[in-house]
Amino acid sequence: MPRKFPEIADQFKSAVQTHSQQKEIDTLRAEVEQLRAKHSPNLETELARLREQLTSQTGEMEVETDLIDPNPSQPRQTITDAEIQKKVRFLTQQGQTVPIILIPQENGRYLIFDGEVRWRAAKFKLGWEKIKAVLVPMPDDLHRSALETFLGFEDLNPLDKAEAVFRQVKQDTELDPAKAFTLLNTCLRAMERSGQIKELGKLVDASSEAQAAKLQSLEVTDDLALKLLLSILHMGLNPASVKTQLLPMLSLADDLKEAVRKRGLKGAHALILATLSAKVLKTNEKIAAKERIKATQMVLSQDLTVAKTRELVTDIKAKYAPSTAIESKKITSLIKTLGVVIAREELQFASPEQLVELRQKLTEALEVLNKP
Amino acid sequence: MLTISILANAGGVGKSTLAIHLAYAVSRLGFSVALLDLDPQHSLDRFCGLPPAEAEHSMSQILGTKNFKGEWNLKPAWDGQVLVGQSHIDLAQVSSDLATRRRGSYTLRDRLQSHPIACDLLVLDCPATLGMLCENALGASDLVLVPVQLEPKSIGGAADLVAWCITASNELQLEPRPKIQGIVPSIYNKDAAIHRQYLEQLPEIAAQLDIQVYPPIRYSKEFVNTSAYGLPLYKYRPGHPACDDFEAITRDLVTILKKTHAQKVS
Repeated sequence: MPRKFPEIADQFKSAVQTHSQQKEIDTLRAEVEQLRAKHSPNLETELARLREQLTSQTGEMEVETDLIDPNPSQPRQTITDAEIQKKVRFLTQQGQTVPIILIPQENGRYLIFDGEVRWRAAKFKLGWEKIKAVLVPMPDDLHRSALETFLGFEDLNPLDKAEAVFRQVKQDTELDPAKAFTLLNTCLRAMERSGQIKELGKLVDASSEAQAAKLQSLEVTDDLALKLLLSILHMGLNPASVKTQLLPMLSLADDLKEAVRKRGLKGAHALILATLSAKVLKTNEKIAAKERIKATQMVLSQDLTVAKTRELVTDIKAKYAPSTAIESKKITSLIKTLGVVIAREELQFASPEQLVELRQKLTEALEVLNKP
Repeated sequence: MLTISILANAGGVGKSTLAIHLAYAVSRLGFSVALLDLDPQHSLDRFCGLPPAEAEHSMSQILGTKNFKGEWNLKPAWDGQVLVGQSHIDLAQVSSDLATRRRGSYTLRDRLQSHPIACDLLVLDCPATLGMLCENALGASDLVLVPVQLEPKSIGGAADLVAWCITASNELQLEPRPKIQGIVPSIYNKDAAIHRQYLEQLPEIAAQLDIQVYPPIRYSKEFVNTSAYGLPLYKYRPGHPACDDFEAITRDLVTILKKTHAQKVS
């Protein structure tokens, strides 16, 4: 009877762990790629059709790579070196199978409409002097708008922008704005507590792969939350600012929505004016609306700054619900600081001397508070 | 061209034996094959029946020079069946120089990209330590084969190697990542209880890693004898039963080669 040797499974534990982590990341990446494809389902087919049309019309030509400039409004946020290397490999093995699409400029140079990765691989890595291309006049219709769906929402007012963003979020995650709001709040609060919120902002310019991988490492484990954050990041937006600046737009009162849409009221001003609600003013909605409309008119006609708008709103509030005590800024900031210290469990990093002193000060404060 | 690295994080587990037999077996089926020796011990010289190469005609020149013009200096082995890029002891020094050079880990990959070797299959025989030379091999590879002797030292090495392949591919941003084509139990002695037990346990672990396990390459003194003549077993003892042990891997490689060829044509 031969003896039994120790099993080998233990030796492979960490390899198995590394492998399964990698598998998860790969799955996420694939999902992100799908999201990207979903983002603009028509763009690829549109481009293929356009390419075909152009080749039959004008024929393929060879254009010097030196005469080509990348498109400043390139819809893809980032082109990673890995992508370029992949293209290099492809071009080396198979040659250029598909022409890039160029827009002739008046100065005799060309702007890339489609094929920036191929052009970069050909010019900078492979040293090609020429590249196959077809030409297209400056687009101003369908393709242009297909591209612009990608480009962020530069010329939209904040309300339209918010609506567009949450339409996209709904498409990506099937969450309606109210549910998205709750979920976004929950996971951003968790990230604030763990101090990861800064990391999240940095992800806006990262590649989709990096975004997915990073969120993974930030331990966003809830599938839906992950989809939601990726959906927002994918539009080139910071989830934290979406929460503070865009989401509140959706719940503005109708009079403010109308002012934002038709009269150029800015987002920040609208949010301040929105605090003139029946609840805050301790009155009915009709009166609150009247005050809001009057104030909005003033903000617009006098082109008030954010600070001035805030003053105006404070004055109106004071008329309705005069505050009995003036708030102290120092106390407000102390409350905030204490909140942060507790949330981040910073007390455990304090020296014993600091703790003694802190306890003493807090006890003194309590004594003052408890005095009748 | 399909590139495959033979990687093992332990010495004496049959890397070179596997490399030359695969190279020969695939070339017999009508594919052109080249074999590069990335081990400063340059043991492929002996396996391929070639006299040692001068440093300036070896892989140490190819990876070391900053001005590579495509002189791969491949030597024909076994009546020209396979072309061999020989190694040299200086490659050890070159390896440490690469560590400080720009794109050091990508040197082989860049060389192959700017001056491709005209062959269907390129086999890279790697040193036993996971350093700069193995990174170069990984960076240039589509596939990786992991020969492993069913004994504690080699098994532990293989476990580390699998994890290393994943992390190194990520750090080098290899896209697509080289695929571990399989684990190849080598120098297998069916009379050793430990070999039998480990062979039994291996498939379950490999399944968790999504890697297949090939049938084992048996231990045979004829492998040692044939290396003394610088020949693959196929030429030294045609019809020896151990020749069949390479069949499964050879078949898989040929399938992949045909597939890539078909893609190219279409």
